[in-house]
Amino acid sequence: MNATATATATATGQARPWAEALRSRQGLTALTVLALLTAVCFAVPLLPLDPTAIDLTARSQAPSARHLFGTDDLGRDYLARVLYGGRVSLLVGTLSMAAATVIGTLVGLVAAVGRPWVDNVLMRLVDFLSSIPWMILVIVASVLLRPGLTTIIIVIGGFSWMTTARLVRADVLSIKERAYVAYAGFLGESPGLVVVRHILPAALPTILVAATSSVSAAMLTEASLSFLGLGIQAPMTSWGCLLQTAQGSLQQQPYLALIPGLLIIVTVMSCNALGNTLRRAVLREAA
Amino acid sequence: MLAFAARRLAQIVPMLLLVTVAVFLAIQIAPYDVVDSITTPQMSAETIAMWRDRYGLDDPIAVQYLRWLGQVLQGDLGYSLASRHSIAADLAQRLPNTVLLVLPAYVTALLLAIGLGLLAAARHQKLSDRLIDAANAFGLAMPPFWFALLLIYLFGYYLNWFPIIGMHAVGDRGLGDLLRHLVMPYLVLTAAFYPELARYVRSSAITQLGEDYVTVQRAFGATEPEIFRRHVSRNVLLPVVTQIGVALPMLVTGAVITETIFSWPGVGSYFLQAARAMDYPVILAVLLLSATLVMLGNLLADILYVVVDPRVRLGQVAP
Amino acid sequence: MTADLLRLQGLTVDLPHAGGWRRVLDHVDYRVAAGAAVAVVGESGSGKTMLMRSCLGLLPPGARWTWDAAEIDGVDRTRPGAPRPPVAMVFQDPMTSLNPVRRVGYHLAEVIRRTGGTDRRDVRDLATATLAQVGIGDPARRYRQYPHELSGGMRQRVMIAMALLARPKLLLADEPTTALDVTVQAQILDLIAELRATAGLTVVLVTHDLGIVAGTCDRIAVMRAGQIVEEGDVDQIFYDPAHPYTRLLLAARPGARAGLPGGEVTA
Repeated sequence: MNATATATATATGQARPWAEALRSRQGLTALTVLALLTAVCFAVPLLPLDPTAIDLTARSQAPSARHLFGTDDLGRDYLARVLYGGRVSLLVGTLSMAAATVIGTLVGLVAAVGRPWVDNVLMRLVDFLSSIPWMILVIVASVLLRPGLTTIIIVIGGFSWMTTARLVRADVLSIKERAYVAYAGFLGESPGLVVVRHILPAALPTILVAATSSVSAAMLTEASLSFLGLGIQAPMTSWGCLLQTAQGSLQQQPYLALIPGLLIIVTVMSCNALGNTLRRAVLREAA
Repeated sequence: MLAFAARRLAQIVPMLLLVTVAVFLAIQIAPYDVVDSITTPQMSAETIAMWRDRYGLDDPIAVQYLRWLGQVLQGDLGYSLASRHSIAADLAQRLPNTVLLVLPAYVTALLLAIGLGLLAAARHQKLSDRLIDAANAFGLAMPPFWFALLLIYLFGYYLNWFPIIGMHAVGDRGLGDLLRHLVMPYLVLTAAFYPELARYVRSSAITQLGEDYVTVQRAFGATEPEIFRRHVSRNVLLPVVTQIGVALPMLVTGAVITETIFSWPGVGSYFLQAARAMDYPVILAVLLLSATLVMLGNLLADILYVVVDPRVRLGQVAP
Repeated sequence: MTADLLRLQGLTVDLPHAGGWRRVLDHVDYRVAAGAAVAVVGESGSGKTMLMRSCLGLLPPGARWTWDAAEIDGVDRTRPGAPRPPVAMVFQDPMTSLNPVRRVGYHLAEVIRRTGGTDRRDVRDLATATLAQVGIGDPARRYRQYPHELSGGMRQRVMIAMALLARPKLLLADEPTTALDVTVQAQILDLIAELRATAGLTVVLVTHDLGIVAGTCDRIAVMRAGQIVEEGDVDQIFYDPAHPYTRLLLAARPGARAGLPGGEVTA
């Protein structure tokens, strides 16, 4: 068995969880829902909808043909606000996930293949960050960095990589023991090359599963922070911000709160469902 | 056991110091401070400088930190910069309120999760399991504050059954009034705690049902209820018991958002106000308290683990 | 000829597999005479474990099965609501057969209570006596221990004690020694043979290892792909195997010389 052969073997190994997840009804539904939501939210600039156009003659209107979701207290079209808000929520979810996954993978990988003291230092850091309740941590960090889009991505990405790091580290430690990695080392491949060509591809399913669940976590955190007024700031909006504003007119217009909440739930449930199907596929692969 | 606990406690102290140093540094590095949050454009530069001087904000970081640390070691958490109240007194007043809210909600969620989780596992793949699992998935994806808004609309505005803010109506210190104020935040928190616990119980019970010893029990004629009562429930609940330790810090910081929505005078809403105002002595005090509880909770979880699980001896628990 | 203790006819079992069904037992007819010691041999996946499990109604969830007749000790198992037949089973992996968070004594006491023993002291005395009977030293101490404190061989003895306490007529032993060290294997097989004599048990030994069959059993059934391809006395199977697959199995034994069916029996 040479190095090329093992690389191809692992490459097909990674493709399978995706293919299998797509074959399951649950996975396919989840992916379709996510694709649709993303498409609609990101296609919204093409539509004749303006989320910031204030129309004081049409304040707090109930849903109608002209305004499908009604208008808010400044007469802005709520459908437009929901879609633009969705863009921000999805963007924050995806970018924070990307940041958390990159940091988590790097830390986990370096801890697993590095020298014992490196492992020790990194894992202590993970313990340290995990020893502060999450909500407290992100609130303090958001306030310190001044709330806003960039801050929220930095805060969520920068403080939610610990689980990914733990998972990747554990996975890489077991991959390291597998025969082909030892064999590649024996053949004299440089350690860096072994990591890139053998360990990282083999750890990809784990990374993937961790990434899907961090999208949901990031979206829920964004919603919470924005709801508290520590996340996305006006005039930009997100589903969490919309919920915060809806609180003020809850008695008159409860649907203003209902709609963004349901969208958050649908999105997060789809991400979780996708993550679960992937995880099952990965587990079957390992069995 | 005692030596183990002592060694672990000794490890907690430097960790806590590290937490406070990190937060202290972060607050110093932040682009603005408490004075920025209390000043108005009308104030003169001299007034602002006087405030800074008064709060000792112009001293070197190390001096400020050591001053704070020295006070904490004497049991003095200092004063809120914004309200000038004693933080220890504020916390002592607010902590019971948070516990009153979080503890019943957590206990309810835990019992519900154990009951429904085991039921779902026993009926795996059947209708009741699918319903419970779907509810768990929904709950995991639901922002608790959204649920709070729905409850406020339904019970507060539409039915007008329960008050929507605070802990007491003006002038009414009776238990009935307190309970009426408690209902909605309690429901929200229960819904927030429940799904993760239920999912854990369900999936670990399903895993246990696939274990060989369950097949053996069936082969020896044990009925399904017997297998659940005498075997599976114990194997599932042992790890759940250890989770109680991990949940300890929630008694302080488990309800930040819920308290804020309902204006519940607990530690969470107190902390959020302080954080918004960069009131760093308060931030540090709450952080110190919650980080201490996290570490004590982890220690408690490990000890419980050793106590309840016959397979584990002390030497095997990572220090 | 003595009466049959176990009689299965036309037993067919399908398991769900990748959206369809996979047949694991295909119209199997099998009978075991009372008092006999028989072996069912075959490679893994040949259906021998499923055959044993269907005797106890222990097929995996989702399994589909049909049978023309299934009688154990005169009880018709095809009838719904049939009483539990006097059958006990010992499983392959003693490391996972016992609940790790329950003491040895708890497992034994449970079985005793199910057969009617209720008095606390009686239960305890009977359990420790049975532990002694299966060759466990210091049974009073073992009674109080947890499974992980016992070796594999010791745990398999506990399983056998549990089986005895269920007062069976038929003992199904599904690869009872596969997970054990070679020296312990022989001890467990000896124990089963001894109990067969003293407790008057009928024993079915399921194994993939023909080597351990010779000294223990009188008859052998050879399974392959869900069917019994050959059945006969030990001597006939070893010295005059009719089915080519049986010859293959015999040749695959360690110590057997290829091309010479029925090499020296070393077990």
